[in-house]
Amino acid sequence: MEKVLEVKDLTVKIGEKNILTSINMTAYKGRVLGIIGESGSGKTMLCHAIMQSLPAAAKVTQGQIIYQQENLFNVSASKMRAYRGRHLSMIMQNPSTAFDRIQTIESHFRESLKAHFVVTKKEIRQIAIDAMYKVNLPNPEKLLHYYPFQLSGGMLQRVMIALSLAILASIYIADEPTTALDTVNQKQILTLFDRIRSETEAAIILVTHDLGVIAELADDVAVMYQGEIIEHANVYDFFDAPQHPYTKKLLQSRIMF
Amino acid sequence: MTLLEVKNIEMQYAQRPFMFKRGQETPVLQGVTFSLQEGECLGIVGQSGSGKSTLGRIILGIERPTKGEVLFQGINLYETTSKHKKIIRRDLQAVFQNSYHSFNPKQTVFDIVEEPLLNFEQFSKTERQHKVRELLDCVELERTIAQKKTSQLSGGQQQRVNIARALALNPKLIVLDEAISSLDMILQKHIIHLLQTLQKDMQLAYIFISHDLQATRYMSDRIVVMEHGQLVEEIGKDEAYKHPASLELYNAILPSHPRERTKKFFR
Repeated sequence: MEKVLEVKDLTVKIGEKNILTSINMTAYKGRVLGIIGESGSGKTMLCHAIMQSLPAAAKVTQGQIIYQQENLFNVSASKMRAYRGRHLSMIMQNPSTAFDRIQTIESHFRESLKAHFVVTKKEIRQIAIDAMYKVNLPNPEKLLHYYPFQLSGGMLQRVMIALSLAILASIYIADEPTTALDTVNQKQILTLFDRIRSETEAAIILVTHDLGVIAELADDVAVMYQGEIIEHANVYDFFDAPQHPYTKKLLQSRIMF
Repeated sequence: MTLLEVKNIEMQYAQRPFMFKRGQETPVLQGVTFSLQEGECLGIVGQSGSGKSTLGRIILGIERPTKGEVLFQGINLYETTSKHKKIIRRDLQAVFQNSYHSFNPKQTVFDIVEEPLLNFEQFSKTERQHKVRELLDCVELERTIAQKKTSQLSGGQQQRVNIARALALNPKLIVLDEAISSLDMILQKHIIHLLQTLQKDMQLAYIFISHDLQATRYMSDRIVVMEHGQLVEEIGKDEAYKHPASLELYNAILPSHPRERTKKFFR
């Protein structure tokens, strides 16, 4: 297994309060790392720390994030900008705020593709249509001319996934990618993620609060509770032999028939 | 006894003609008919856009259907005087998905739960205080929460305040529209159990609208499946699904253990 990204002993504070406490985790090539935890446990903050997009009030007091033998905290701002989207791609939780509402879907694709490649208008269009076709959106050609407010939440979420899939990154960070979708679409998106990681060998960090999503897709699981990773295990060990009392409680909450 | 009867509902959203565009009529519901007994829990499942929420709103009397009638305790919701309607309102309550948006952000939890009592009951101040405390106990919230604003509460606490408000007037039917979908799993289970205990204690009927077949099945006595605005299948708790629309939903249930994963591309 080849390491792609490594988080070492990361601690983040806002004021005096620890938001993340000595986080250690590794993402491997072609594997899905599931991060599970309840709301407010620091999952989203961890994603932002990896993308170097923490809010201004947050201070990193110790730790490293290593990508391609470099500590991302020491990388220059311009280099980090080149990494974002091209190497590290993030799929946000809330589709309605992630889009610019006065730009069409096509110009969103244009913006992100032009930031990293030299492409013609025709190529952009083709890449966008392919990506939207992959996430199972109806009529991709027509959708290009739509504005974000004309689409439903579930469709926008899929457009956002298509946006980050249009560029083949080496790590996808998906922050609750399927929470806004209904179960049928959720299943399709998870299958799509599975295809991506087997075809492109990208590492996927999948943040969720749904044990079903973890059971369906993850290879490794990290359980977060109040800013700490309290359990880090292979997915089979996680379901068969949970160690921490919180993990046991979490597993008991599954609705059984 | 039959509590609610929905007869042959049809609903169309009309788009008005504008500039050079012709007006269009989009059918949302077609020929929806079902009934609900007292103390029963009926699940309505379907993909997004299948018209479940519109049906929920029609049952609540918020939206007037294009055709058909809704009989609640034998009274047609859309053909009564407003005085009559007020009596029906007591027995018909709702809990929606996004609880935060159904609160007034300036009100405290106490004010929110007290409001239906002010509107419908002739209680004195101490009686109201007593009742609010009772309701908060009922949904297992601490009494200290009563003085907080809703923005200070977590999602699960907000949803429980919402349930407490719906329970305030001892209703006969609560429509739960995606009421637990946005909560995490521990809370989902907690709220489902809470709803089930309340159902037994207070002889409540629920209409449980969700796209999550698993939770709906756990909760309901009977399930109807919707597709493109029509009821395509009605099944009991333990019966098998036959219609392709229900099978699609059934196949989308996520596994409870990695061993039961669906087909994989490699490995």
